[in-house]
Amino acid sequence: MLPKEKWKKAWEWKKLLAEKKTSPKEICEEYLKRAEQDKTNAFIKLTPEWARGVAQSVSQDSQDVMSGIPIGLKDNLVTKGIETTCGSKILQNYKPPYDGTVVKKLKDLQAVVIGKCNLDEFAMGSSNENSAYGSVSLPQKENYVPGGSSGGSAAAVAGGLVVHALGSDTGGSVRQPASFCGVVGLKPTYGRVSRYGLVAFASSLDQIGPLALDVQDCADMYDSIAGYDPLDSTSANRKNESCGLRVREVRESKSKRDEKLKSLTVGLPKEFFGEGLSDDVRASIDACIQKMRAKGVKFKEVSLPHSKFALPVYYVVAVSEASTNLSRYDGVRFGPRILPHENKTTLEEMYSATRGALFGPEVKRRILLGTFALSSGYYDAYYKKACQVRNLISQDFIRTFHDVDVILGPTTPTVSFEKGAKSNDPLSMYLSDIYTVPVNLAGVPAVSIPSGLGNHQLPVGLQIIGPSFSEPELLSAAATIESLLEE
Amino acid sequence: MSKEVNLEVTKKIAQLAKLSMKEDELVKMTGELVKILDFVNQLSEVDTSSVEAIVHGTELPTVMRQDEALALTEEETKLIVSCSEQNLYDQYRVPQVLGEA
Repeated sequence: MLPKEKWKKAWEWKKLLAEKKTSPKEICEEYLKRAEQDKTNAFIKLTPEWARGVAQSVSQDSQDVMSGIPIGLKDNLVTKGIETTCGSKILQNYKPPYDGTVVKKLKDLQAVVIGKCNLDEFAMGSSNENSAYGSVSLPQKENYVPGGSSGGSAAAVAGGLVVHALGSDTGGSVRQPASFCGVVGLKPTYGRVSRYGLVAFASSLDQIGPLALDVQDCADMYDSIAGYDPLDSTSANRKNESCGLRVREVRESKSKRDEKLKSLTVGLPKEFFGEGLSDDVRASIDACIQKMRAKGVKFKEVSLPHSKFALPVYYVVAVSEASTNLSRYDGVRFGPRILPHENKTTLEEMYSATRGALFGPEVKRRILLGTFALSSGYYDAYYKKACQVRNLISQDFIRTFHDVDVILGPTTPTVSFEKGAKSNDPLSMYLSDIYTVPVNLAGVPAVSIPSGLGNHQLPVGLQIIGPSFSEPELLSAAATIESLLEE
Repeated sequence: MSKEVNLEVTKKIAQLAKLSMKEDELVKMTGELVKILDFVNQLSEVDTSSVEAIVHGTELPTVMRQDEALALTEEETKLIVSCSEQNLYDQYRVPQVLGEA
């Protein structure tokens, strides 16, 4: 059973609220109760006072899709006066002095924040085993991973602890956990959602994205957080068309949906169906393609020849940016500090001791790699080379979108795996993101929707990728496919 | 095998990155870095002689503004400095920088 069949979506709650069959307070208490009894460790901190405060003041009749709806925020989104740890000991007890733009938007819309969701430390990981606050479990199967790095956000949605949640996606960190947990996850076009108040990991790749039970909720959450923000110099100053309305159109009219399916041209990149793709995931994606074909969707085999270099490019670009971004954690301005010789400690010793003791192994590994790639003598061979190949990867997508509306394939090569299975082999863990990383490098938007169940009855995710700034078309295509798969 | 990284290089990078690490941790890290760099080195297969390097996926204009210092209110200063565990008189406390510690 997929989470969307088990739990109520936001649009269902809004209907019950409009019919006066429940109240924001009742909804809030129901979710807080489940969150307090959570056994998956999806939250680093619950925020019941904040949640109840909003639930008490929100109007029963408020039309806005977010008002009175319980949500979770990944703990790398800064919240004024409320601990924001990034899953790291180096930010333990850090209470930011301001709200990030998306947090402010959701506050203004009166969303009910249930808590701050667990994550891999500084969003670096694919299994949520790298959190200093303990690993997260897949709600469907104990001892299996929910994916990462937004594993807490995905598990909270799939476990019915929140209605939807925000995550961040640098190389697949929203889509991969969405796929493992059987929920919907969107990585918007780079620049669509303000990064102001998202703790930086790799600034040219990071995007905040929603995790939700279905495409409608995902689109509504996206509409609530997207838009130009002068506080983020990479924010795109473009018109935002409502995605929620577009999705509602196809969801509410079967004839419109079928019309849309007939007009859709879908690219299948041969690189996403090659070696490394497990049989159960392949079978699930193939079954979706068959269903779509029967409804008149046109398919084209396409090629993204440089996508096989996406992971090596990513592990130069992302770590280089990370090593720079994480240099700000020095024991001075945020979190705890370590003084190895007490009063005799020098400033340099304090920096090194604090960073050495309070960053986890994956973060240190990436800082070392990034420092190496940017160091004198290696910069051209690594960083510059990676940025050139990144251009080729991006060109592959631009060229392909001349011929097709969207690109479709699996989100991940396998379903969720057991905890510990990959934690001693960083390279094999990195391969979990093989189909999601090219998207971040190219900056284009992509959404993962559940396509069915694979091995151990665990969810499989279908990734749909669109051209830059095509979120309305992308989400409406995702909604048509979702609706078709429900039949 | 990546010849560029060995234990000595890892020690040097750790020093540059200001990460104090024990010998056994550095040894383990070296092995992992070598493996990852071997994987990364497949990029040398790609001919990039006429390819421009990009630092963003989407085309973004460069945003410019005047380099003006904005004054913080006393309250804002207090709020920001109070995020540090060690602060005094609305300033960050650090170990002695000048002279012998």
